[in-house]
Formats: sequence, C-alpha cells, structure tokens
Amino acid sequence: MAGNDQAPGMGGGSREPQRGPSGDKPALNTFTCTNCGASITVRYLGHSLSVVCESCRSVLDARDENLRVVDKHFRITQQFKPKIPLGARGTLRGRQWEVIGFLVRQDAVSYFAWEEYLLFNPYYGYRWLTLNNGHWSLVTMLKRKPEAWGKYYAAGTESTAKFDGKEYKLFYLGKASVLYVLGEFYWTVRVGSEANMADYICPPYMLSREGDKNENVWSQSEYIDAKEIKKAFKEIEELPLAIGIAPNQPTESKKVMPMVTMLWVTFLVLLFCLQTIHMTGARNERVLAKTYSFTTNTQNPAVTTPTFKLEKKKANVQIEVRADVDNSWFYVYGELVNDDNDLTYTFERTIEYYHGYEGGESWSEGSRQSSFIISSVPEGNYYLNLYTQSGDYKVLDTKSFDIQVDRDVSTYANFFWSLLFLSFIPIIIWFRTYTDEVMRWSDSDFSPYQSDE
Amino acid sequence: MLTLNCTSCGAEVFFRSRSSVFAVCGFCKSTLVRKDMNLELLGKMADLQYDLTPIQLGTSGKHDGKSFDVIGRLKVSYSDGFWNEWYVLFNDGKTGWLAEAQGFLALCFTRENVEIPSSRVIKPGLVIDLDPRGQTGSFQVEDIREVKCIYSEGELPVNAVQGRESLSVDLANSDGDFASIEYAKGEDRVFVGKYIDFDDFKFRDLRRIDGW
Repeated sequence: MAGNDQAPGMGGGSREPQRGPSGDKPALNTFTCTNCGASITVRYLGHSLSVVCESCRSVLDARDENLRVVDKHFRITQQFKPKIPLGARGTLRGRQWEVIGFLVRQDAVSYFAWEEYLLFNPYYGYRWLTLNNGHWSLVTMLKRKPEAWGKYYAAGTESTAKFDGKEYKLFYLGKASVLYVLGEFYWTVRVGSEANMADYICPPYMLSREGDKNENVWSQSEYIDAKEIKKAFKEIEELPLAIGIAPNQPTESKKVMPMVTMLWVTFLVLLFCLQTIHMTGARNERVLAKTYSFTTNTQNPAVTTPTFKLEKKKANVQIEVRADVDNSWFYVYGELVNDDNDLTYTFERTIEYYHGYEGGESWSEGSRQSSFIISSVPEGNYYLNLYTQSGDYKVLDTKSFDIQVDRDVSTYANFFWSLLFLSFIPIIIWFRTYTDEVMRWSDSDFSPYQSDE
Repeated sequence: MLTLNCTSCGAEVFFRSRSSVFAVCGFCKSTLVRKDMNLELLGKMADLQYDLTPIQLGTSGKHDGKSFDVIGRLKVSYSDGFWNEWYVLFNDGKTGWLAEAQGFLALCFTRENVEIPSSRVIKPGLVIDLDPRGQTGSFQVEDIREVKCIYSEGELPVNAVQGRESLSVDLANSDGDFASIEYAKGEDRVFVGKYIDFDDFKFRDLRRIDGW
C-alpha cells in the first residue's frame, strides 16, 4: 500500500493534465460538416476515428482537425432507422454502455442484412450489439485468439474452434459488406467495404472471425434475450419479433436436457435397485393347488377351498385359473376371504378358447388359463369361494378346472409402468431438443443433421 | 525518490523510479532529460486535446497482489488510431508498462537480453523467440505499426519527446500472452505481458470522465 500512500505526495504537478481542455468539458463536440455545412456532433472525440454526417451521409475523419471527408455521400439504397437511438445508454451484464454507432451489413451472396450497434464505455472500451432476425447478441472483441482446426478446408476454413475450453462448430461462412452507417466509429468506416466472416457456435456463445488475407480479428458473442435489451434501453419503441432459432440462442429444451437426463439416469438406477430388491426378497410360495370338476353349459354350485396361510405382513397374491375349454367358455367369480376377519377380495375371470379352420387357414383365439395378481394382501388364513359357470360346450359333460394360489410373487409390471412413466417427459424433451437443433442448423451449410448432398 | 528542479521554472520534478531518465514538468510542461543528477531542458510539451482515458498519473492498481502507481505516460498515434503506454512503478521498485488501447489493457514488462531480428525482416506471421533462456518464448508477429509520440507526461525511462518515431510490433503466443517490440532510434525494447480485464486491476484514483 506504500504506493497508494505516496500518491498524493507526487505533487500537483503530475495531476496538471486534468486542467487541460479535456478534463472538465462535457463529452460533446460540435463541428461543421466539411461537405454540406450541417452541424455534426462527435461524442467521443479522441476515441472516434470517423463520424457520419447525418444530413449528407459523408464519412468524415474525426481525427483530422478539419474533419476531412473520407467517403463522400454514400449512396443510400435503403433508409435504416436504428432500433436503439444513438446516444442511448443502457446497462447490460452489469456495465453501462452508450450506443455511438450503427451499421447495417449484409451477406454478399444472399443479401441477408443484419444490424450492428457500436457500444462505448470510456472505462471498458467497445462492445457490439448485433440484431439478426430479431435476435440480439452482445459481442466482445477477443485479444486472445481461439484455436481452430478441422475438415472444412475445401470451404477455406476450419470446422471447429476452441476458446476457454469450449468447442464451437462452424455455422456460417461468407462475405459481409457494409450497407449503411450512422454515428461514430473507432476506425474509418466505409460503405461497401467487405470482410470475410466465419461464425462458430456453442450456444449461448458464438465465435466470429472477421478479416482479410492479412489480418483476422476474433470476437465472441453472447445471446441476449430481447426483453433484456428492452429493459436496458428505455428509448426503444418497439423491437422486432424473433424469427426461428438463432445460431447461438440457448433453447429451453437444450438447457434442461442435461438435468433431465441426469435425473432420468438416477431414477433408472434407483428403479433397477428396487426391482432387484423386490425380486430377491420375493417368497414365490405356492399356498394352494386344487382341481375341481364342473358340469358344462350350466351354473355350478359354489366351491370353497381349504384354508391356506398367507405369510409376510403385506404382499401380493397371484391366482391362476386353468379350465378345460375347447370352443367354449368358462367363467369364475371368486372371493378371497380372510378366515379371521372376513376381509374379502373379489375377482371374476372368463376363460375362453376358440379355434377353427376357415378359408384355408387355421385360427385360434383366447387361452385355457388366466392368471392375475391381487396386491397388498395382509397376512392371515384365507380361503376361496368360487362360483363358476360355462357355455358353448357341445355336450353336457363333467370337466375340471385347476386353481393355484401363490404368495408374494415377483412381478415386472410395476417396474415397466414406472419406467414408462419415468421416461415420458425425457423422451419429449429429447425429441424437442432434436427438432430445435435441426431447426437451428437449417440455416447453415454445415449442419450436422444433414447428410452430404 | 529523487527530487530535482525544473531547469525552466524551478518547480520540483520527481523521479520515483531510478530507471526514469525523462520527465515532463508538471507545472510548465518543459520536457527534461535527466543526466545523472542534472536536468537538461529539451523543449515544451504541447497540450493534449480530446483525451478520454480513464487512467491518469497517480492512478494506482493491483497486479498479482502487488500495488503499482502510474508515474508516466506516452501516447502514440498511428495510421488507424492511438494508444497509451502508462509507465507503472510497483511498490517493490519494479517497473512495467500498462498498454491501453480501445478499452483493452495489457500489462507488460521489459524483457532484457533478447536477440531480436532487424526491423527490416519483421513481417506478420514471423515467429520470434523472446525468451533468453529459450524456453517458452515463441511469439508470432501480428501487427506492425509506424507510431509517433504525440504526448508524454510524468517520468519515463525513454526520451519521449513529441514526434519521437518508432516501429511497434505486436506479437502473441498460443497461451494468450502479449508481446511487443519497439524499434526506436538507438533503443530497441522488448515487452512481454498479458491482457487483463479492467476490473481485475482494482484501480484507484481513476480520472473522472464527465457524464460517466
């Protein structure tokens, strides 16, 4: 801290420059356009190198004491009005910026145009806001150069760029030319000047390389929600609606996908564990196996089975009914009754099996058995009341049916239902992510979702 | 700190760093060169117009836990703009340069005993080894600019009179380090450093900029 303490001791002399013309003056300087005579305001003289005359559209050299004309009357083919007026100030990402320049650039081949706003803060320098199809990005010039490599050498550039540990994929390659300028700039702007451009994306970021054969300048853009722009700059009247998905726009689906996938995997593992515990812990105990006879084509008197003991506090019971049906049906209405407290579970089942030979093909439907599960049956002594009925038998006869009761059987149904339920939302999100990415890349010549033409 | 008197007006002129050989009198703007304990008058520094930098003489900052004070400045112009080179003195006596251009700040230190190629063979893309021990010093030339000193103030280790011409070469390596070679008449200097975010310097006593 010695340095700080000594600072005042440096004497007034060192601080003198503040008394100069720059120190106390408001940051506004007014000149006369050397081309048309209109008044021109330069906000940041000393930083700005060129300024555009608002009335005659000449680009003037802001460094030159006489405001030498750099580019006289650029031909206006279209009039553009900045969405954020020049001079407006707004806070973005915690820093305040003033809009000092505006330019419209277009792709040399497709004539697709976008807007760029030059932002300035005397402490932090320059930034850009780009407006492309209604989507905004905040752009920072990079002094450290990203690494670039990959296979698109045929197109004259690399397919991948890496910066700060993130990999960016080539999205756009083209030539941009300046269509329209307004305001002041820290370089000499010229309408019509062209630059080679390459954009690499890793939403919400984008790396852009811009330059000519001699020099390449890299910048990094971060997607900014239009609402944030509107909140930052109160002067904005209306913002254009965002169209489609911007190259570096973070989508909701993609944002939540890693989380959803992680949760899905966690629950899946949990589900597998539960199923394993369930399966290894199941008793799978046969508690009743009986065969009874019945008279066909009629209702039979009720049958009551011997009592059987169901162990384990609470578990499922599997009942299997097997009947001798052949082009006929067998119906059973049953009651599982607790002998101690008369707690009753009822069930009904129809067993039918039909088959035949028709039009040169044999067919069959139904089956001779039916099994089902009653869940959460408490322990105790139980018996079954069975009321049966049958029909479609060719002759009146005596047939038999089997009944089997198993205690605490291992099942997969819960597991599969849970799995289905659990996967429902992730599947929708994965699908949504996929379609969003296809849409994002639909504007690119380098889409990974497109096979080679 | 060495205190001498301005040859022109008699005001006190401070040399806080032993390596400073040049100073601009804060009172009468005389440019002075130090010859041991004597000051020699060179001329007068003309005022600077439209200077918007947030840094000024007396601004202090921090780097790697050490404090520094800004004790001198050299402002140069080239065909496409300007930049400032602020001469900083750390509290341990070490000096460095804080290069400031378009809001970007790079803190650099002089690297001695580096063999550099002649300015005539320098061209973009050329790789130069700037490490005297030959370890991690491979830098690539990015920009070459002819610059002219348009203003200086405070104390400096070079004879920074207005109009002083030099050739400034910017270099970068793959680690994002910054280097610069200055070819000036009779004194070629090499600097190596890093770009650092404005906020990371934790500046104090910055210049107030009207309206901000």
